[in-house]
Amino acid sequence: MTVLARRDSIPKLTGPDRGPKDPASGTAAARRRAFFRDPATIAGLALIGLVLLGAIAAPLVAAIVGHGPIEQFPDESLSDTGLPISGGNGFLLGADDSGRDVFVRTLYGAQVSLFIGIVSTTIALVVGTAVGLIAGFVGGRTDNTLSAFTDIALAFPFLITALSVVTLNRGPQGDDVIDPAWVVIGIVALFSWTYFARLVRGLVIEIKQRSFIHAAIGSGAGRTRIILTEILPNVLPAAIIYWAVQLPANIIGEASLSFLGVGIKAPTPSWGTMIANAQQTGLYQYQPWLLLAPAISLFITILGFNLVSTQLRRRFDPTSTGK
Amino acid sequence: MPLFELDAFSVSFLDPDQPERHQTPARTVDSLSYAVDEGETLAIVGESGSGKSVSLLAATGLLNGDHRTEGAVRFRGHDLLAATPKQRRGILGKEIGFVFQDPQSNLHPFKPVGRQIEEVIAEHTALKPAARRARVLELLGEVGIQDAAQKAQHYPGHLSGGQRQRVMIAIAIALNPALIIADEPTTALDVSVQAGILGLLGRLQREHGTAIVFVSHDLAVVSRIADAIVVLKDGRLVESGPRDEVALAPREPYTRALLEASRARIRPRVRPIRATDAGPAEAEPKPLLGVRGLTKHYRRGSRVTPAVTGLDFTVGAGEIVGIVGESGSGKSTVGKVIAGLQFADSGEILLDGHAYPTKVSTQVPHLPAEVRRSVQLVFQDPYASLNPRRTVFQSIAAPLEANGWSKSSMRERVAEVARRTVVGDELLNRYPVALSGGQKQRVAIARALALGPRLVVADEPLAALDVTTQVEIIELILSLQQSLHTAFLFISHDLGVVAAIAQRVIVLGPNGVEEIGETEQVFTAPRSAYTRTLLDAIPRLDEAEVSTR
Amino acid sequence: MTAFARTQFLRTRLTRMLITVIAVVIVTFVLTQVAFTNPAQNLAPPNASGETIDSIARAYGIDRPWYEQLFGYFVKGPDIQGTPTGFLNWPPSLGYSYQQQRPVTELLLEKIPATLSLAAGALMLWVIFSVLLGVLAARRQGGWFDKVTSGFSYTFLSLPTFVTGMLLIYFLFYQLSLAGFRFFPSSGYVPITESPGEWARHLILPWLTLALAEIAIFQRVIRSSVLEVVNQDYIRTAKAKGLSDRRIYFGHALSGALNPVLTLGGIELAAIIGGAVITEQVFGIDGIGRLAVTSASSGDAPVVIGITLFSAVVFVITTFVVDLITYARSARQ
Repeated sequence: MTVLARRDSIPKLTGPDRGPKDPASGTAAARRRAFFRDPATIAGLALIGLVLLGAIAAPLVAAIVGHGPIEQFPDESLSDTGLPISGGNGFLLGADDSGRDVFVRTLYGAQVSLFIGIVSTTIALVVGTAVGLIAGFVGGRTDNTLSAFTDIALAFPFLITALSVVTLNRGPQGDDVIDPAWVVIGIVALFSWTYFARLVRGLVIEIKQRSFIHAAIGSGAGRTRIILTEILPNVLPAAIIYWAVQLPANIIGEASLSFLGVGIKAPTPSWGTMIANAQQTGLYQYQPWLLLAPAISLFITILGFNLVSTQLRRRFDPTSTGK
Repeated sequence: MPLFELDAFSVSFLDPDQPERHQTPARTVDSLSYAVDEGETLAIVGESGSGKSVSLLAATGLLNGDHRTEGAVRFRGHDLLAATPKQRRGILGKEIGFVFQDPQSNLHPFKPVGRQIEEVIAEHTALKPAARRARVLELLGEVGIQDAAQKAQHYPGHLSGGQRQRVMIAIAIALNPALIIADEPTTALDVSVQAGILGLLGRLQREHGTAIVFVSHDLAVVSRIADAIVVLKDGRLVESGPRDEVALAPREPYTRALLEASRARIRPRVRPIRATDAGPAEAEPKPLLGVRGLTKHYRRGSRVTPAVTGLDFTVGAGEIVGIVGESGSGKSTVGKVIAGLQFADSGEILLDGHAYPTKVSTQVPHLPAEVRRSVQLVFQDPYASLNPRRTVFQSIAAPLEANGWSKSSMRERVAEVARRTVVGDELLNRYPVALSGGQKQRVAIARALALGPRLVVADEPLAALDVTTQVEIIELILSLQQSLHTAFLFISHDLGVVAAIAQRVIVLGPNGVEEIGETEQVFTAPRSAYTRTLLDAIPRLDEAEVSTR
Repeated sequence: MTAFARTQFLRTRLTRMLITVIAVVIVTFVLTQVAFTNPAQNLAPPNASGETIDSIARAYGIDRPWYEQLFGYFVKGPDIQGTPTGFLNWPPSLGYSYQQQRPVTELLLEKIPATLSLAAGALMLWVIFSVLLGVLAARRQGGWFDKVTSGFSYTFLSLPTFVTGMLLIYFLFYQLSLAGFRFFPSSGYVPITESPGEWARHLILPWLTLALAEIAIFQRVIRSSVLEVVNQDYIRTAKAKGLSDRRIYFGHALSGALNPVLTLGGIELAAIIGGAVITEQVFGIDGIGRLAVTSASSGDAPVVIGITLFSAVVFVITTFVVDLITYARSARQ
């Protein structure tokens, strides 16, 4: 399930926006109210808030406890046998095998996850929406070509290809040519734009059939005008909601790449790298926080976004069934 | 003891996001009472939203969505609402059969129809498979399906609309129920098929003595078969009584309005239009629109199906011409070609002296700007015809915007057409969600008029509307024709509607043009046998009333 | 549906599959050419002379221009270390691994049973539990069962595969072992031919790891798909027939809801290979996934291409089969 698509949410391309489907849906304002009152939304927003807070407060916490995210404190944090402590001594969640503060690193990990997730998903949104608009509206040969591209892109095994792509970034001395964060962003975006393209293409094809488009053509409106003023406003909400749906999947993508050792590399704190380190050293048996701190952080981040995006889809997405 | 009875029965929908005890929702069905005796036919009439279907579905436990019921529903004296799910299942399908509106959506798409009939027998009887299958074939024969053994293997998608509805009826009568609930059973069907289905229901009732509750929006349809009629409006009972009382001598103004609406649609247009017109249409040397040999085929992969072949007709300036045909007759294709949305394969189309290009292509033809401006479109489905993300003002202004009008002249023009189409100022800032079906259709007409076209192609503009709203829109179109001298090409499957509005009628049959003529002539002395069957199939309130005209 | 349309459909689909697979091979080939360091350099002893490196390159057929090498892949390449290369041999050859000094086909065949065991077991759990949980949750929308499965779904949807795997190891292997219950091994793979019992015992945690996230997704897909269908008119007809709930949900609703489920299921099935890479890594199962990781990081291009090809073929075939089924179903409509 590490591949990037959120297949539970590949949208159904039916059900145009025909206003409220049941007596309960009500107006936009009512839907907004219902969205913000739903306990799932509140819980999700609270979790996201917590993660954001952690990301912002990371440097502050580091300054207070006096441990930088990549600084090593073997004297304070490793026992005589070289095993890391699991707490105390100013190390809230203990230390890792190199004597680094697990708590501080976990907070910094939030920055990495959010940054890579948000940037890559946004790139995918922009590229995918553009491709989908063109493929769906122009149709014919353009559509076939673009669809064939999407098919081919889907046939690549994400992780295996990513493993090879990452070696591109290896300089002559085995160092990185550009910041690995950007490589990860590129790979994740490369493997997720297709879902936006499919979504938007399907919506465009459906909207194109509706008579208000015929009316616009009949009144002499040009292609660009129709795409920008008639179609785009109708697909954008769904695409943006899908952004929120895809975001947690992309955060998982980054973590998985890092876990396999081809994403963010130690000592930069990334949750995936931290878990890989816990696995490789096997030290989590003595210092469970090595595993649990990044695992729980990943969990609450993804859960938060999942909760909110599900609610968004349920309340606002014309392509969703509202269940 | 009546067979089936609603007693002060109310239904209200609940908001699934709120706890039930905090809600006091409006009643969709409000203290409704009526009863059917054994062997009797009761018609329930009302417009959409009157609660006629909701009341029956809720009464039998088939209503989807969170709702609350009050009052009592009795079948043979037993309260259905108090019954356990198991008891209710024992009655449904066995003692009460159902026929729903759209047989396409009401049959399972992935099961052969024979199995769908067999299922209900299997559930309620201990018959062996062989006996069940024999019974299925017998039923298919009884509802008038030829070739039963073969048809039983078909999926619903491979049957015609009429055949599918016959299958639904076979399911309903499979176990000789005491009551059949028929919810708009003919609304989704072509007129020529409607008559057959109504006849079938009537025959089955005579033969088996089944009681029928027949739900319809059309007083004319039900007056053919009902013993008694109940009229509903906004969930409340307006009037009820024996058929002759309600259908021929209604006491309530609302029933009279329904009746009037039903009649208006089948009265051929006899207004003296020419007197107020600029001049008789056919007297003009050149018609506004001249079509000769219009031909268009649809290509899907390697399959080519003709939509229209060799159609000739004209529309004079300021004239209303109707095109009538059943589904598949190619009438919508004609509309799209005339409106400039599709190429014709061949043929000559002249609008105001400008020739349309013809080509075998799926693309949108490129027409000169003045041709685009002089022909505009109004569509069937008012939901899909307005962009949900634009306000009414923006929608009406869209064609002006596309043609580069300035902001101030745009505002003036929108106000002008809004006034003419009776779109109130208070609607201009609303989004389509907040409009009724009739209002949406007015806005769509306003948008079509914005550029001051000489011809408006209206493709089934009334099909999605209630009868009373239909009358309003018909009157609006007639008044626009008078005041603006705009010509209309009015496309419909409904001969009655066309009769009420068009000066001349083109009847399209499955094999092309059947008849073209003045409305009165087509209605009173149809030349083609096909037109005659269409005319005969129109449900009438009273045969005598029509023939005297 | 005419026979002609059927052949047409098959022909376009098969061409498209072939093009996709070829495109995947070409892209991967170019990628490995650009990305990996010259394998001859890696194979040569340190401080080897240019001549030595050249002779090694000749021996592995990598002295030829890249397009010749690529072309050789699709037809017949040179023999390397006595192994024929290229598809047009019998049996078709996927080349020769520099690092392992063995034919790639042989390597793949050796690793496939482990990956297949992993995928097949997970698939079984996945299908059975998704359908069961999904339909039962839809049957009482908003009821306690729906709420519990929804919580389950959110939980495993929010855990990356490797985290699930690590947590299972930590709690079910390590903590249980500490408590004196040593049932689950933490890693390793035992071929089914050696001992079916051990095989299953070693695979239980990996199966769970791989299946849990998939069940979490699919349970929801099936639930919402069934819920959508439940509001369809033909389900109302089924109720109007007086059918029992079990027949309505598992007979009518499920079969009506199957189209989206099948489509997504096909993609998801192929994605199991992606999940297998991680699961094998976490549980130290010596399958295709692990081979991919080691080969990619050591720059063993023929193996990387072979594995990419293998999974592309699996993907293309599964989506094709799913399309065939949906096509057959749509032909009924």
